[in-house]
Amino acid sequence: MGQLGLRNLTIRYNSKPVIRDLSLDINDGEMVSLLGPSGVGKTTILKAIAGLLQPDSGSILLNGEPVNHLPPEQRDAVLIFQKPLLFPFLDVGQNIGFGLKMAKVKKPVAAKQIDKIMEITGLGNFKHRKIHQLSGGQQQRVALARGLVLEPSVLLLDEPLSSLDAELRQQMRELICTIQNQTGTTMLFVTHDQSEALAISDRICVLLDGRLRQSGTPAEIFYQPADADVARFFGCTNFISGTINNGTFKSGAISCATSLDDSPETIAVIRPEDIVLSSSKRNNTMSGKVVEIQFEGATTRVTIKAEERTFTALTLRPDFTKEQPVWLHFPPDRLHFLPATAKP
Amino acid sequence: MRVQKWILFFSVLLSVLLPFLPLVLWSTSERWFYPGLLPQSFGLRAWTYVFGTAGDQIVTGLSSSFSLALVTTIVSLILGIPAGRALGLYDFPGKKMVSLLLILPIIVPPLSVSMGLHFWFIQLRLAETFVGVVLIHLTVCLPYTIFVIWGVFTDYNPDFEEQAQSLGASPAKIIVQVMLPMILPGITVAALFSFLLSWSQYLSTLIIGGGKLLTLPILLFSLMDSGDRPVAAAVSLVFILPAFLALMGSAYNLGRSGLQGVR
Amino acid sequence: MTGSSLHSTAIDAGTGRKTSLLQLSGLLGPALATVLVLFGGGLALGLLQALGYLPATGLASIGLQHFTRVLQDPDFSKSLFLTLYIAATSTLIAAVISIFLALSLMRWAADSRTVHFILQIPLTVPHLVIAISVTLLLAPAGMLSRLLSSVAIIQTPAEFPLLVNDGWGIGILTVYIWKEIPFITFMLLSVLKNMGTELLEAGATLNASRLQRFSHIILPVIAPSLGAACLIVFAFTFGAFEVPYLLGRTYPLALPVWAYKNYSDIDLLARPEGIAIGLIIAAIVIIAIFLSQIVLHFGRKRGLTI
Repeated sequence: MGQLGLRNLTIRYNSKPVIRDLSLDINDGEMVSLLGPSGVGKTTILKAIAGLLQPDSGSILLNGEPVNHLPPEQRDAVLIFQKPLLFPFLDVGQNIGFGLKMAKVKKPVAAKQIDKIMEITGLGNFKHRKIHQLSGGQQQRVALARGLVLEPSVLLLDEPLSSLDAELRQQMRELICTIQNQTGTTMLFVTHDQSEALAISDRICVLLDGRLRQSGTPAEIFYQPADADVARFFGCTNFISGTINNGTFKSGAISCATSLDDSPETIAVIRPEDIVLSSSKRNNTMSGKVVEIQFEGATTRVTIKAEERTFTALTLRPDFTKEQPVWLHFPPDRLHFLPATAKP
Repeated sequence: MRVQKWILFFSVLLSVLLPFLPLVLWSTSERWFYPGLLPQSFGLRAWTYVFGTAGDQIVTGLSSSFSLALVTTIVSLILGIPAGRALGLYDFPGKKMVSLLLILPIIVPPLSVSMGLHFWFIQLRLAETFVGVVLIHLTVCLPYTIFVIWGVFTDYNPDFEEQAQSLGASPAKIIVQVMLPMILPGITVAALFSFLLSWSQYLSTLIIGGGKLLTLPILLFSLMDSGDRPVAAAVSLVFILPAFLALMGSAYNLGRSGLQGVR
Repeated sequence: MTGSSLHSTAIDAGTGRKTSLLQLSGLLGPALATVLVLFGGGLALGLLQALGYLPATGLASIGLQHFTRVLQDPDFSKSLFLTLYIAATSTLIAAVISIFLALSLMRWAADSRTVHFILQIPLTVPHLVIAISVTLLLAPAGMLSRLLSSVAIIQTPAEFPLLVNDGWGIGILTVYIWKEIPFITFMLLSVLKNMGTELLEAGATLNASRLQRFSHIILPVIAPSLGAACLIVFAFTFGAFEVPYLLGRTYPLALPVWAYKNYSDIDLLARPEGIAIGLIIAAIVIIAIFLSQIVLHFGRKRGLTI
């Protein structure tokens, strides 16, 4: 059992609201990530859930029960910090067993649980190692094991991978996913890294300016952003404003069938990799001029000026030159229309 | 929580300041018979005695205490800064032995050392001299100074010196313009440390100085023995004044780190 | 330490920067030589004298007779016990109060500036001055006695309990505790500040209660500094002269007072005994350090966290 509910959570810092009216539900066994740029108050939310700070208003429910009044040690939610924060005076095994010792679990029972979690987290041989003998990745794994061994209702992870290098981060991501599958622990994972969130989550909650902007599966968030900010946050800066009339979106030469209601002003977004660059005019095309080219390896990022607007396209072809005229083709099935209330 | 905080604050304030109350009262009392809680009459007899009748003695005591502490501090710094630098920046064989050698003089009471050195100092004609007393104070002050500066240099980044060197600074310039400014707060603490330690030495001064070097603590002791409480209280206040001024100055210069670690 | 210990270089502790041993001895040499000559020389020459070497008699009568006379003196064990009692009690009480004080100051770190400043005052005040002040406060005709008399609890100084020059060393303990609390507190505060609150938050989220966080996180973290501070305080109070001289009884004497009394005796024959007592004090302090190191070492090995 591991359900987490946040109801109208508001948290102020120096009387400035950091988190505004946040409501969120996480179901048993779900892996949800809370995604937002740095400094948006993601850590604050986790600390509030863990009980390390009091929200100014709103309630926190663990398995349906409000826990606002409980001190952190009595909440069945464990927070894994950005830094491993291992106790330097304890060895690996003792660190992992810390919570069990606090709960006065009998030694043989605790030892079994510790061994099991060390097996799962791949720390098998490190039980008697000193903390300072471990690498950063190993330390973070111990921190993870230290939380997991308590089998909390909810495991809260505060950017636990941000201090690791790229390769190690990838390994740890896979490890966390494997553990999540094996143990079925409900996890709330905080990150500012879009690709990390997309890769590991069942569901992503996008937090911008202290508000929950969108919550959905990685694919939904990625291809159907709820508003322009979410779209921008995922690297999509191509906005086309137009009108919808009789089930057809129109903007200049672009037209596309839609099931949406008529509207005098609608905004369509398209991901950079969905824009097709061609040298000849087709339907749904706009003519433009290459402004800037950035070779990024597998793809090339081309900035194009067309009809007084700037578009970014990702293409596999690196052979563009500045000032080169190009045609931008917008495949109709790739256009996503923002809800009427969301303006860029 | 607020109440607890105020209770803590006032109990600290009260316990720290309480010992100064009898000193101030006694030094300004003219007549104070039991069971009066306050002196029956106030007056400046003790203070006129301290700065008038016994003025020469007090000034001698002040100046010898001060010059002893000053010279001891300067020598401690001159010897201690290089040593602290070596210990703070480098690992080398025998480092543990060195640190043990430096801990021992801090732990072992100066009494034991002074009694041993006294006889030797007599032979060397150092007993009852200023230099002799500086040397015995150094035994206490130098290890402390080294420990403080050792601590300073463990947080010191010598890359700055190399940067200065690559910008064309000579070794002397590097020491004066890069190293010293960077460790200045630490040096201030070490200097205060050493000064206060020397300032409050009694027995080692008495043994080596043989009563010839009349420092304030020695004066104070003889006053206590003579039983003149108002004068002893007044001299006590004179005795703590410089240290207190140093504290005020350091609080201004060092901010929060202050004098922690000083004994 | 790195594997460099065999080579003639020293390695920068942090950056692996190298320096020659020659340069190193240039830095360290003068200071070490000074300490070695003055401190080591003082102890060695003291030992020679305590063993009976006097220039007049030469090395002929060298032996342990002064030490045995001191150790066999029935007053010795009384003095030793008194001195141990004073040192241990004042260290223990000061340590306990310091732990709570440091923790409280830590919790209210944001606005403890003033308290910090106030706490620094005792650091600057010599023991001697406080001993005098405590006499004026706690003596039979001291201010506390006058206060009690003014509220009619006692009538004469004779009714006031003996708190100075008393059997329990109350006056001595008061001075030491007042002086040493700030010292220990500041040592602890610097560790606590370095520790920050994160480790405690990690403990809290791992379900450690407030008491458990204290005993399983704070205590192990401050233990080394607390131990070091206590050792310094213990050693100091064990070997200091002024306070027990002014506030102690005439019998039994604290060891340092006894040592100096013998040393300054007009009977020059008592002098080697005084030095012997001084060396015994030094030996006890050094042994105490080694014992505590061993206890700590074994404690660590057996996985004790405190």
